[in-house]
Amino acid sequence: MSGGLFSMAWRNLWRNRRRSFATIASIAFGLAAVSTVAGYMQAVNNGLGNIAVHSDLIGHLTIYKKGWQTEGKLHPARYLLTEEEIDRIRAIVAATTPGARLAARLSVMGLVSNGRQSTIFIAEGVAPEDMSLLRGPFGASDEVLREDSPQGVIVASGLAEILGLKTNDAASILVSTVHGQANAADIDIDAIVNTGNLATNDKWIAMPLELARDQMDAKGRAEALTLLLPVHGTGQPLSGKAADLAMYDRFPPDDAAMSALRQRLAAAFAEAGIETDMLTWQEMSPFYTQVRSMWDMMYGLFLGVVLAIVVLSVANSVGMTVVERTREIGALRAIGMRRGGVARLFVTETALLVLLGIATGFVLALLTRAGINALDIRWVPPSLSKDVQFYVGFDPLRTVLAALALAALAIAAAFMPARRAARHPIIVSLGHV
Amino acid sequence: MLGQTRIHALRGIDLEIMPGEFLAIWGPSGSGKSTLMNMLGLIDAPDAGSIVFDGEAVAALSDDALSDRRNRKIGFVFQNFNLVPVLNALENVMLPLQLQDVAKREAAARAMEWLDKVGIAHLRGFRPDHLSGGQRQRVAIARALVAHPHLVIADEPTANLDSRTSHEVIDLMEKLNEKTGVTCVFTTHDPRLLERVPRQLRLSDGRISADSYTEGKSR
Repeated sequence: MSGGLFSMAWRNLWRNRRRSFATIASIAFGLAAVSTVAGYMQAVNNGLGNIAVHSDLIGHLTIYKKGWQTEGKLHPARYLLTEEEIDRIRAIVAATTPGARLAARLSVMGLVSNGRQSTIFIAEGVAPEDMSLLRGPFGASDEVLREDSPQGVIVASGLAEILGLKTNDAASILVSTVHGQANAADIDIDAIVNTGNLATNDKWIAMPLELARDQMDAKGRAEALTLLLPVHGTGQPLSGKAADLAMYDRFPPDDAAMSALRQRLAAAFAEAGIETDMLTWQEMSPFYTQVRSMWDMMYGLFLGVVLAIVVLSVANSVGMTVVERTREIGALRAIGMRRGGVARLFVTETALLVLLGIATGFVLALLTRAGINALDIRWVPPSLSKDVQFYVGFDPLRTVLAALALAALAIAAAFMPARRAARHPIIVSLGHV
Repeated sequence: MLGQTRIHALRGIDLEIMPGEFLAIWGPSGSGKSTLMNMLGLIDAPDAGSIVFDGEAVAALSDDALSDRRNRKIGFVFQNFNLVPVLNALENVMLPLQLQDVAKREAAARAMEWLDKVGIAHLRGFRPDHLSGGQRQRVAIARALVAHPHLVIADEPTANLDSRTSHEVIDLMEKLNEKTGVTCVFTTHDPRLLERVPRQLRLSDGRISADSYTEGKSR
C-alpha cells in the first residue's frame, strides 16, 4: 500500500489548497526566520571573534611566563620572558604547530603629551612585521606600523582628538622602566585609527616593539608571545567591504580546537622545562564569550516560540482535516484499512506538508539573506565607535537542526489527531455529517 | 445511547445466512436494519450474544484482525457511495486490493475487469465528482467485489438513486450473485425491489418479524 498511500496523501494535500498553503507558509516562514537569526548570530559571533583576534591584536593564543598575570605588574623584570626563553618557545612552536607564527609583545603605560596637555595611554609594543601578521587579512595597510619609522606610532582617533594630534605630528611619552625609573621619548604620529571600541579609542597606541623595549629598559624581552594560527592563510590584506565580509564569514578557531592546541603546547613546554601560562583568544576576550552566551539564550527562546507557533498551526490544520474527512475515514476502515494505516495516511500527508514547508523555507531563507545583505544596512553596535553592515551569514548546522526539530514536532503534532481519527468507532465515523 | 437513554436497536436476533444467498432486509425506520447490517459487516459488535462469520467467532478477534476479515471477506456498498474523492474510478476499485499489498499492476488489471463487469470501464479515469449517482454506485459495487469477498453488505444502496437506476443496480447485484456465488445482503424501503429477492427479512422494533422466501426465487 506504500505507493498508493503516498499518492493518496499527496492528492489529499491539495483538497483544501488554501489551508495547505497556509500550513506550508507557516513552516517556511518559521524556518526562514530561524535560519536568518542563526545566520545573523553567526556573522556577529565571527565578527566579534575576528575583531578580538585581529583588530585587538590578541591572536589565537597568548603565552606568558608562569605568574605574569598575578605578579608581573609588580615585578616586571622577574616575569618578562627572556630572549633565551623566547627562542626556545619559538623552536617548540615551530616543531609542534607547523605554520603558526609568534609575535613578541610588550605593553607600555604612561603619559603622552602634545607639549601643552598630557593624558594617559596604553601602548602595545609589537614589531611592525608582526603587527601586519596579527592584523590578518582584515586590517587596512594604514593601520600597521611602518618598518622604516622606529619612532613612528599609531594613535587611536579618540586620543588624537583629546591632544589635538594629526598625522605626522610629534608628541612625547613618559613611562616607567621595569626597574621603576622614569623614561621619556619623542614619538611620530604615523597614523590615526579608530579602534572600533569606545573603551580603548581614547587611550590606545601601537608602537614598535624595539621602542617599547627601549622605554621599558627591557632589551630582548617580551611580556607575552602571541601565537597566530594559519587559519586565514597569508594572503594580501583585504580592505573595505571585502574585509567586512571576510570578518563575518570566516570562522576563528573554536573552543575545542584551542583547547587541543593549548594541551599540546603545554605538554611540549613542560617537557622542555619551560613554565608558562596560556590563554586562548576566547579567554582573552570575555566580551566575545558573554555575547555568544547571550545569543545562545536568545536563540533558544526564539526557536522555542517559532516551534510552538508552527506546531500549533500544523496541529490545527490536521485537526480540521480529520474532522472534515471523518466519514471517509470510516469508509476506509470499513473496507479494511487498519487503524495504523489511517494514522500513517495523515502522518504521511503532514510529512509531505513539512517537506514542502522546509524546502520553501530554505529558499526563503536564502532570498531573505541575499536581500538584507544587498541592502547594505549599516548601524553602530553597542560599544563600537564605527558603523558596521547588518550582515546575515549562513549557519548550516543550526538551520538543519531547526528543520529537523520542526519536522519532528510537526509530525508528532499530526500524530495525535490522526491516531484519534483512527480509533474513532467506524459506525460513528460513517454516520458523521 | 441516545442522550442519557439506552436504546436497544436489536433484541434477540437469531439469524443464519447461508453462502450464496441473496437477502433483503426491510422494515420501518428505526427498526434496526442498519445496526444489523453493521454487525453483519463486522463494523459493530453486539452487547450480548455472538456473531460467527465463516465459522469463526468474531468477538475474539483484534481490531486489526477484524480489519483484515472485512478487507478479504466482506464488500461494502454504502447509501452515499463513500468513494475516496481524490481517487479515480479505477483507483477506488483498486483500493481493497492495495490494502492487501497486491502489486499495483495486478490490482489495476483486476479492478479494470470489475469496472468492465459493472459496465463502466470507459469511466475508469473519472473521479467520483464527475460521475452520476448510478455510476458511482457501480464503482462502489466493483470495489465491493474486487477482492472476491464471501459477503457483500449493501445498506440502502438505491436510496440516492432514481427508480430506473435502482433497478439496474439491483439487477447488477443479482447477476453478480448468480455468477460469482457471493452472498448479498441489502436493505431497502422499496417494496418493488423486494419482489426480486429470494429471501426477505422484515425487522420491527429490533426483532425479526418475518423471514420469508419468494417462490421460484430460492437459491
